[in-house]
Parts: sequence; C-alpha cells; structure tokens
Amino acid sequence: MKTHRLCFAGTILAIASEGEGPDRIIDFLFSDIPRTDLDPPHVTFRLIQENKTGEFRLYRENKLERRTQSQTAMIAYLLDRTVYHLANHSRTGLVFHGAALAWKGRGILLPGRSGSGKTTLAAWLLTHGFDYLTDEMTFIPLDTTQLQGLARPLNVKKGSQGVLKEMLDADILPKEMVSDGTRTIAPPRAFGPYRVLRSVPLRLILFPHFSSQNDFQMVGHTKGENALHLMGCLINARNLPDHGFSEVVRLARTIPAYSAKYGQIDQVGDAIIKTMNTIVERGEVGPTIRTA
Amino acid sequence: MEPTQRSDADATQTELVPIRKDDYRLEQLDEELLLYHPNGEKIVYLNQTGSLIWGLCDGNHNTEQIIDLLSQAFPESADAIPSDVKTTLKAFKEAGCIEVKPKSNP
Repeated sequence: MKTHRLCFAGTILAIASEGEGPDRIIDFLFSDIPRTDLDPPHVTFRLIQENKTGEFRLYRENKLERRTQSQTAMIAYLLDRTVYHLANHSRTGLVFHGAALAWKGRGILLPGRSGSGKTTLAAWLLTHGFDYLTDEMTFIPLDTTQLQGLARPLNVKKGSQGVLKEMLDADILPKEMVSDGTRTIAPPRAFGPYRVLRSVPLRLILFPHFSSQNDFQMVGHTKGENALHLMGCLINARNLPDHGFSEVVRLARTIPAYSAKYGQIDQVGDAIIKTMNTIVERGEVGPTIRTA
Repeated sequence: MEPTQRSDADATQTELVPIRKDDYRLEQLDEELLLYHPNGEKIVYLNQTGSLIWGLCDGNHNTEQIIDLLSQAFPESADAIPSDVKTTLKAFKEAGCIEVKPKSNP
C-alpha cells in the first residue's frame, strides 16, 4: 500500500492506495500537488479495488464513504472531496473558490462559483502561455499576497466541452482524460506543454461572468466592490478570525480587480493578456482602471 | 369632551429615529463602507451616499431630517435623495444593522 500525504492551504490530507487501479487514480489526480512528510494528517482516505468485482471503495477514517464500479465516478468523487476537506481544515489563510494562473511570474485570480466560466477561461489561458496553478481552489496565506493553487486536473462541465475540444492537444487525447457524460476531467498536460507553479505574487483579480448572451464588457471594481465579491467566494471563512473579513479587505485595498462579462472567450482572454502585460511593464501593482 | 391637544414634548417623545447597531464593524475603503457583522452572516456595502446616511443614523435624526441634510449638501441630486434615503434605510432595517426607536429626550 502506498500512502500519499498531500499538503495544501495548511491542511494535510493522507490518501493510501492499494493496487494498480487505485494507484493510477491517485497519480491522475494528484501528481502535480506537493507532498509532505508532516504528520498527523487532518484527514485520511484509503482507496482500494476489490479483486473479484473490480469495485472501487473509498474509506475515510476507516469508514466506507463511497463505492462504485466506475473509475470515472471515483475520480470525480475524489476530485470534489479533496477540495472540500482541504478547505474545511484550512486556518492559515484565505481559501477562495476560483481559478488561478500566472503570466510572466505574476498571478491572476479568477474567483467565481460553478458556472461562472472560470475553468473554461483557465484552459484558454493555459493554451495561450499562462502557467497553471488551479481551476478551482486557491489559497493566500495570511498577511501575504502570495497566490497558491491546488494543481488538480481541470474539471470541464458538459456545456463547455465543445469549446475546449478545440484547445486540447490531439496527441494526448483521449487516454489522458476521463469523461462521464456530465463532465470531462483533463490534466493540464492535455492542453499541451505547461508549467505548474506553486506560488506567485498576486497582481490581478478578475471575476468572470460567462453567458452566451453576453456582449463583452470589462469593468474595474472599486475596493469596496472587490471586498464584497471576494467575501462571496471565500470558502473557509468560519475557520478564520472575524470570518476572514480583515484579510479580504486588506487584499481588496491592494490588488486591482475587474468584472468581465463575455459570451466569446477570446474577447476576455485577449483583454486579460493585455492587462497582465501592462502590469508586467509597470513592474508594480497598478491602480484600479475602469474600462468598458 | 374636548380632544386632548398633544404638546411638543409629547410629539418629540414619539418621534422615531434610526439608530445604528453597535455590533456591526465598519471598514472604510476610500469613499465606500463595508458593514460587517461578527457572526459572519451579513456584509453590507455602502457607496458614498450610503455611508453618509449610515453616519446620520445616530439616534438624533429622523428620516425627513436626513433627507433635508443631504438635499442641502447635494442640491444637484435633490430630486433623487428622498427616494435614495428611504430605500437605504429600508435596506439597513432588512439587513438588521439599524433599529428604529423613539428619539430619547435630552
């Protein structure tokens, strides 16, 4: 049995795998996430595959949590549960629901709930030279503006699969991805050459709002608006002093933020590249800029 | 029986005024305010006008007085101010960050 200790957002999650099938699942999901030797873990999972039936079984703290014949279903379940448990125990910084990438060493945070378009946008940016941090879970340690991301495979929902098909590297398809009809789970390598970064200075926040009906509009947030929207995406608030309010306000005062409504991904992607290039040229955090 | 005439003192005693609740924490970001309740359930965002109205919820000004003060300060917006003030006070009340009480006598 192999035991993998994942460390993210100050949380240690141990997962033991037994057998070739479970080992493959763990490798697929977590190969880009840092390991640690620290003990004890906050949460312990064990993943096995029954010899006779081929059924996958997942135990948490020795209690059976999930059983399924489907490798894809188990991958999807573990993908979601690791995010939940890592956030649930995190007390040393802000955990935001959002994607994160980096451009020339500067981080961009894309906060947003499911359906906002952040994963599709993250994939587009990945295929246009951005480095990958995460498509779902970000972490900013207290008193810093260092952006970290849970480098898991991208979780592409059914509605976005058509758009993403064009971005995927045909040489890697389909063996590197799994799909169950409602979503496709694709590691970052499925999008071509990539780098995973552990931590970058945060320089820009952009709240994506996708709808096929939208005309493109990118508007700068005031600091107050930034703080309010960030609080809406904070998922470990109850673990933090004053629910993370002071830390979020500190971030909102420091980092410029925009809201982008779009129906065509190229529009917002190009605007992000232009904004990040401006930030890189300035060599510092810029003021909030209003554009329409 | 002649109807009882209310004295000025009586009218003042029954005058209702909005009062900020003490347990809300305030964070100022430039001209905006965020009101935050320690139980983490509510955050209220206030732009510049909202911040001014919040400041006047001190137990000394009723709704009409708040409207008058803001209308004098911003005559160019005098048409919109009554509606803005009433909407904002209603939002404060629904968010639970003010109480409406009788104005206390000095």
